[in-house]
Amino acid sequence: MIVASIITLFIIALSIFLGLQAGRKKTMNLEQWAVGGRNFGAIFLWLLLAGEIYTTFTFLGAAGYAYAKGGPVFYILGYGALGYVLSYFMLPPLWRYAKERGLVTQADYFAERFQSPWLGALVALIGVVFMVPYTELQLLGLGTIVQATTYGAVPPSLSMIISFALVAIFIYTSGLHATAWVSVLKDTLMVIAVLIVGLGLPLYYFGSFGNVTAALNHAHPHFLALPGGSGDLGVAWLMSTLVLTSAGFYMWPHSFAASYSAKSARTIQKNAIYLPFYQLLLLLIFFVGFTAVLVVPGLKGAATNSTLLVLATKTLPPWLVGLVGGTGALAAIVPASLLLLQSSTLLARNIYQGVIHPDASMLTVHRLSRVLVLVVTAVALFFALVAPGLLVNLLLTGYDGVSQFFPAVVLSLLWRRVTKVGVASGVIVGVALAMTLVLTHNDPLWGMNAGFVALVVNSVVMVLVSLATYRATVPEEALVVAA
Amino acid sequence: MLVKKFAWIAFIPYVFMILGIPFVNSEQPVLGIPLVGFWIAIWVLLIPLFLGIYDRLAHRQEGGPP
Repeated sequence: MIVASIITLFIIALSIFLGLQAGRKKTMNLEQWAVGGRNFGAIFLWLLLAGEIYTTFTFLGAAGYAYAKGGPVFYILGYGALGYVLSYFMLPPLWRYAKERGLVTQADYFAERFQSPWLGALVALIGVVFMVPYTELQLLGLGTIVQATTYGAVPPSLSMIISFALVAIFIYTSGLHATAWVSVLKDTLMVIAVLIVGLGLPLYYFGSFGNVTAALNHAHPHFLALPGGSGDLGVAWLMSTLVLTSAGFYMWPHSFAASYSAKSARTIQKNAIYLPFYQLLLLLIFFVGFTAVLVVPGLKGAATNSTLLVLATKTLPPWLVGLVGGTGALAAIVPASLLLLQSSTLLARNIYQGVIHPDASMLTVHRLSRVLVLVVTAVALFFALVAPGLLVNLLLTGYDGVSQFFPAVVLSLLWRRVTKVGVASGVIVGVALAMTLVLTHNDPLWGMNAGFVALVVNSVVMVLVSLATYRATVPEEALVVAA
Repeated sequence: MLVKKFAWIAFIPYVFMILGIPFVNSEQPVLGIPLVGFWIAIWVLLIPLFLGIYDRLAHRQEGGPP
């Protein structure tokens, strides 16, 4: 147990050290702090974007979902690659626009494109609200990791509090550069850990992936198809969830803003072409969950979040458990820091400076951002302590919200007549409808993902309201998707 | 504009991955992976191909490699 926790702590400490080192080289201003000064090359951006994708959700959540639900887990394999197809077309014009106007956040895009700080504030608020469940999932994951690597000694609540204090310190001093270098460490460890756990565990117990599938099909017929172990997540759910989550893939405020720091539009397109390959590694994680169904049966509810860790501690020597734990911890700390960074920047810049106190100086906004990191961390921590749940379900809730920005972004690039009132109406209706359906236990609705249903309604409302409110004399600027 | 005409090529995997789901809903293994998962995996692999083809077409229009 000592060995495992020492190795985990060492990895975390190394990342803090790297974070603080990176921070010392540059003087800070908000633009640099939030977007890294716009001088990242293709490889660095690739690592940063990949770092965002491989989170606690992928590492712990996907294994747990495979264990609990079976077939439905395969949406996770497809949605990222589909998201890249959309990003190939959508991100380059956004990148150009952001560069020309010096944009820093996702909300800045809406505020500028529609000449409305209030729309920016609305988008910022919704973004922050839906980043809370995503952040919460990192905290929950981190809690299960510490529990596992100490073989039960440190209570999850205490470990979450400590780890997140460390994250806040490290964002506080260096911003995006720190997170980028730690992403390099994290992604290297992650590939190693996934290969060890994803190849090692299934092959150890069954000899081949085909044997895992055959054994599961024998013991639990139809578990690996739809609806599998879920009861309500069928074919229509899978299809609608793929659409919802692929549309939402770049609608997360931190992903949207991260793409501003690309070296060029061409870099973005090249990444979109090659990054889908990385997604295939997810199959290994699914097989960890499938293996666990037969090797460590009996986990229920939120306990399924620790499926991968339970199987790892049962099978691997303590030093490997430590490595897996440390990697998992980084997989929580890095995305959490990006999420918290974005949340605080959105609140300080697009809400405080945007509409509450437009005369605030950049220095005030910068200082306020730093304070808000701690506030938002505390909120996410609060929810993690009082309202845990399935990691994947937390993320899907987040998608129900942020995907509602997708129709607005697409229309803003293609259509001159989309108006700020249309966008606001569509987004508000979409978010309200999705949340109502989820809270009244109507997800799935008519077999389909509730967020998807809301997305369709959102789009219709956005178009109709825009047509009704467009005035030809208003000089709205229309971007044209470049050839 | 010839380039925009070909944009549909890039979306072939998107459309096929999703619309094919009702026809591949089975746990029967293909190369060790349940059919529904295998279907998705194949299209994930093909996305770089289709996007790459469109990308080549789009950039040849502009006169030579970037």
